[in-house]
Amino acid sequence: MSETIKKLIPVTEVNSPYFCIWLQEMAEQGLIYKEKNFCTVEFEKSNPEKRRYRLLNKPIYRIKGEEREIYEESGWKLMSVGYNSLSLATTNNPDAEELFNDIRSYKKSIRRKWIGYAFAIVVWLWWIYHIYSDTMSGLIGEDDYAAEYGKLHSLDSEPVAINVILAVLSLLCIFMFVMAIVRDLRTIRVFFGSSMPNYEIPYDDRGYIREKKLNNAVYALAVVMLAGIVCAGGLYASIGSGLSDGAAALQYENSRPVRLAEIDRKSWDKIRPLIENSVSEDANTNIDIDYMAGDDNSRYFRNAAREQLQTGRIDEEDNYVAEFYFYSYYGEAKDADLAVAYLAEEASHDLNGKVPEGEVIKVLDEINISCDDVDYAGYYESEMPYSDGKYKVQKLILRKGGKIEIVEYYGPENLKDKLDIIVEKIK
Amino acid sequence: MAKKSLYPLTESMYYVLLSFHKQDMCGTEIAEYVRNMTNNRVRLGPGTLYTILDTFRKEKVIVKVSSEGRKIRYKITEKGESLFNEEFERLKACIADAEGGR
Repeated sequence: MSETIKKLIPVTEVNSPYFCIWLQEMAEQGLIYKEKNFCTVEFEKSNPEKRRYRLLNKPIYRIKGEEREIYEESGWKLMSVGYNSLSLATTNNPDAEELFNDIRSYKKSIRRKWIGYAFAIVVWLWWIYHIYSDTMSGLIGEDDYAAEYGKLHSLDSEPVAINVILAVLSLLCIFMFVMAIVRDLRTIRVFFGSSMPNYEIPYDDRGYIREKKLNNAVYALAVVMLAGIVCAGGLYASIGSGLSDGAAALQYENSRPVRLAEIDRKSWDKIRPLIENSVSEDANTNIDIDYMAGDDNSRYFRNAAREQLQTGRIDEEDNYVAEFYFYSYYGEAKDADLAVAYLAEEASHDLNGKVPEGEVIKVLDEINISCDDVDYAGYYESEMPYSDGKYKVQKLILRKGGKIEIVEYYGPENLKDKLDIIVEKIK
Repeated sequence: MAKKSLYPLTESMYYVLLSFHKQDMCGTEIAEYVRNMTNNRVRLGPGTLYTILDTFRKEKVIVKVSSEGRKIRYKITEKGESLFNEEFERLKACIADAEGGR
């Protein structure tokens, strides 16, 4: 049984001349290509020999019949190249003709591949845009939401180590995507060019050596990324486990946060048939129900649940007129200071329309109401920026330790009269 | 009418069509015939040869006449003759132009 050896591929097969040249270099050292795996090639040890390798832009199972006959009769042996759309032709016969002699037939053979690369580039670019616009802007805390509502309201923007790791990982991802695009572009350049790929490159060629170094860097980055993901996951799990029973509150039927039926039974009875019949919108009535169960678990907060109910009607002038509005939120912060800061951001945003750095805490004193069973209770009326009509919403914010409850309501009841019911939820 | 992409024929295409004037041939016979006819000047690689045959077959420049195992024998069609003659005339004109310009 012949001895085999595995080697990490130092040049990607996308850049076909370099991959083939590397295989030729190995053959001259007595290592003959046997098969390709994900990122390694298995070689068979043999006597050193001059051997040519060429990549064909077609999977081996599609080269059959007459086509295979022509290749084999010409002295070339066809082999598979792992699980991709290429196949490898090899010969140690110095008289065997090069696979392609003119650029027109060569271009035709790579046309299908070129379409694939063009598609890949579009996908890569879309990914880069997606990562930058969503992930990165969120991670560095400069997204619109954080700017408007405050950093704590943009839970992803918390300045903790895990975010630094994630940011670095994202940058590495972008780098690897860019690398992939550059490689795809190289192949497309061949398609638009007028010269055949050059396989007569010496093994000490600068471009060839640079390609090897670059690929090693990509491997190193991949290892770093993998380790980073494991570390980030571990860190996330360890921080997340410090939060208490917030998970239980993520059930829809949980008592937290307070529900409309508990503070305004009449409105609930009116809206319930609409919910049960799944009437979401018609010409005269608009109802929006949205229950978000803890999608935003973060390192510092565990959001409990949110329930949002809104009805209204369209008047004769086509304006939306609210009839009632209800929203409730329950969350658990890692500690009391964070909970205070979160409520301050909330009230400051509602009352001042912005969240000035360092001044947010003062606003809590201005809206403080007396309530013995919690550490803090605040009440105010505010025009909600996301409400369609010009109506003032009552708002109650409560805190006990790191637990937070926020209730917004527009309807016939006075929210302060329902304080006892709401306080029960965070006691 | 052949596709515009066939005009003008490449040197390889021209010799492939020319070889069918001797007899019906299969791929490997064409490669050998062209190499001998041109004293090794024009050599058809298997990739180029198959791509040309595939294109010619799709454009109905050649048609299959028989097959033995994986070998397929082709002959030139009227469309192929006309394509060859057009190229032949074009090459003659090129030579005439060159000779007249000397």
